[in-house]
Amino acid sequence: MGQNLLILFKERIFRETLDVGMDLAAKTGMKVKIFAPKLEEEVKKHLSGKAELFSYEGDPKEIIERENPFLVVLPRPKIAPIVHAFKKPWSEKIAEGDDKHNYLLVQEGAKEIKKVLFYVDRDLSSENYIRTVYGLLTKWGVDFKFTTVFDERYFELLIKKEHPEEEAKELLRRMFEDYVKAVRERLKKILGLEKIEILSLKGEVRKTLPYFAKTHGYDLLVLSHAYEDKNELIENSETSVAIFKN
Amino acid sequence: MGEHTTLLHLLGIDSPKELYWFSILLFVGTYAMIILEKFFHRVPAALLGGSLAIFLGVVTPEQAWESVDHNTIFLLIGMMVIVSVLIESGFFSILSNWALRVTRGDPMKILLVFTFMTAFLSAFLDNVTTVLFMVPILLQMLVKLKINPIPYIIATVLASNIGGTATLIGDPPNIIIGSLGKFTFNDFLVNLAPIVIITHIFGTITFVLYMKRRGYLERKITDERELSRIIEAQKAEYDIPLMRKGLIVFGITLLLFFFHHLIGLEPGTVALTMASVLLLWTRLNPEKVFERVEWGTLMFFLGLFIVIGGLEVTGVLEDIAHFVAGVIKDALSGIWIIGLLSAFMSGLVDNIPFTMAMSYVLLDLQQTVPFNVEPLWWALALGACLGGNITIIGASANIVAAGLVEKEGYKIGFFDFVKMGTPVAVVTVLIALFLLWLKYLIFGV
Repeated sequence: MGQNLLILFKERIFRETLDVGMDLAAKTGMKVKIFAPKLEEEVKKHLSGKAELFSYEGDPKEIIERENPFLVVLPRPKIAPIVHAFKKPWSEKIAEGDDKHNYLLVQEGAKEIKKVLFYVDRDLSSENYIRTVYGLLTKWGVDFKFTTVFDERYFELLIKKEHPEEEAKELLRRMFEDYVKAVRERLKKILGLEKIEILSLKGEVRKTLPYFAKTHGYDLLVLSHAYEDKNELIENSETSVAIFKN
Repeated sequence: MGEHTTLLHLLGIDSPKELYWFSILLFVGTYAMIILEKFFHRVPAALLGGSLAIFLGVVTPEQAWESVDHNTIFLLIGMMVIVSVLIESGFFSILSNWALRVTRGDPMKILLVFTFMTAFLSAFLDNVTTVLFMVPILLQMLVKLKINPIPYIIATVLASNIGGTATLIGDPPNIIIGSLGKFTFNDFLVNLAPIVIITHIFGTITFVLYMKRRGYLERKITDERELSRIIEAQKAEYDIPLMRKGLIVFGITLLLFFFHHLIGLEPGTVALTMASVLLLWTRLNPEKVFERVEWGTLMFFLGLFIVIGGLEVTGVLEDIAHFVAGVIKDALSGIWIIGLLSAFMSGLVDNIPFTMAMSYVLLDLQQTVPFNVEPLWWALALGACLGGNITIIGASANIVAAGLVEKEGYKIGFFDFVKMGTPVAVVTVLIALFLLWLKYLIFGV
């Protein structure tokens, strides 16, 4: 697989997707190929010499398979949540159904990507995923934060049934601290860093993470294909989302 | 199997006449405890009344069990589970934010938007379901706007009881009337819906005037910038896949409600089945979902059903109904007698057992009187449904709303409800019965 970046459109061209993709490619030194059903003159002129442009017909999945890029950048139209429940954008369907490629879904209206949440799961995130994303985000030069989520609700009912209120709270607090410590140690070991700052959250990952991202001004949420509720997390996000191979 | 022995039997005071008075005593005692809310919580009060009825032998355990309206209990559990999943999905937070944007925090707009929406939904959904839907949205929104939510919640519940009167599926008494009186969905639409639309307008005017006089419609946040900031700051935490599943199941449930009489299933059966399907499909932890089920409300119903079951078993309800039947001389005067009595009784006891007892009396009446009793069925529907607005225990939806707000740290007191509900009930019952009477006066019985 070459270090190239594929920007793909199915219907209209989203300028923000182009801008984010081109910015990322420029800072990381990736070659860019852009595929769209119809390329307007204005766009061609704007991208002249910076990317290879292609018009296409047919299934965008075939282009991804054929080009096999390092990163596929797709637009993600903004849809009201209740409408989103019954209408899934084509780009989400592609990213959800293919765990062989890395994807960046750029949210409609996202002018640039500055703040990034890099999600790490204690058990599911592989060494490869952590190294790849860390390398890319560092090269890109964005402000990124490691984040992990402890789903205490999973244990809460069980513990609260068997322990008095205060004791249960203390047990949960300790479990939370142990969880975050384990993630921190793992990151230190893989990345060879002495100090790691982690945003540690509590709740159900698929809901908590997207909500935290949008309420704290993050532009991008990064996760891996290995996360079991990946599709749900993508759907619940109102920010741009990147999904990397594990 | 040995003879069923009870405490009253052992004491030798178990003649039918004595049990008759004991059932009345239990009812009055339970009701007094419910009213004296400062000293007693209504749930243990009703449960004590119900269990005492069994303990003393006013009803046997089997009779007690039979007096519980299973359809109502199943409907409540089922819809509470479905609504709980929708709450978990963030659906109500999204609606709340939308309503906040549309009304821009204007109390009058909030009141009108919510009461009209509720009345409309109530016509096609059970009142309890509508209340379960609307109250969380309203509550969330009013708390953000620093407005006392209680009068708005009461107005919404009143609107749901009014709107629910319009159709066969809108209110449990109508389900009973439709079932026993053999009336179709369309019969209700033709005979009740036009009356209910007019009645709702007068009901709205009544509670708007009340709230205006009490200063409940004043804005608490007057600074436009602060209001915009509150509106913009609202971001819902949601789960789209869960919402999709919740809405699909809710939609199918509604569809089955519409056709429940055709497929021969009670709404309670439909709701409970669909709730089970939803739990299985979403793979949510049931215990977490059940945390939102109003078990207190269900226990309240259980106790109350048994207490009223005592009145039914000992023949008190029947005596009341027969007494009224003896007074009715023709259909036109019967509209007023049945309508007003139903309204009054529905304000005192839950309207379901009363409607049931009254329906059997009307069935008897059909065989014996020389006039067409159809107007009396509609009077019963109007009285029972609209009379449910008199007190907090008059209709299931009122109790459910009280339970919902209690969970959020608010309280709808018995007299808080009476102050607002009784005037609305009086106005709507009188107007509705007058319109029904006028219709039969003009077009003939």
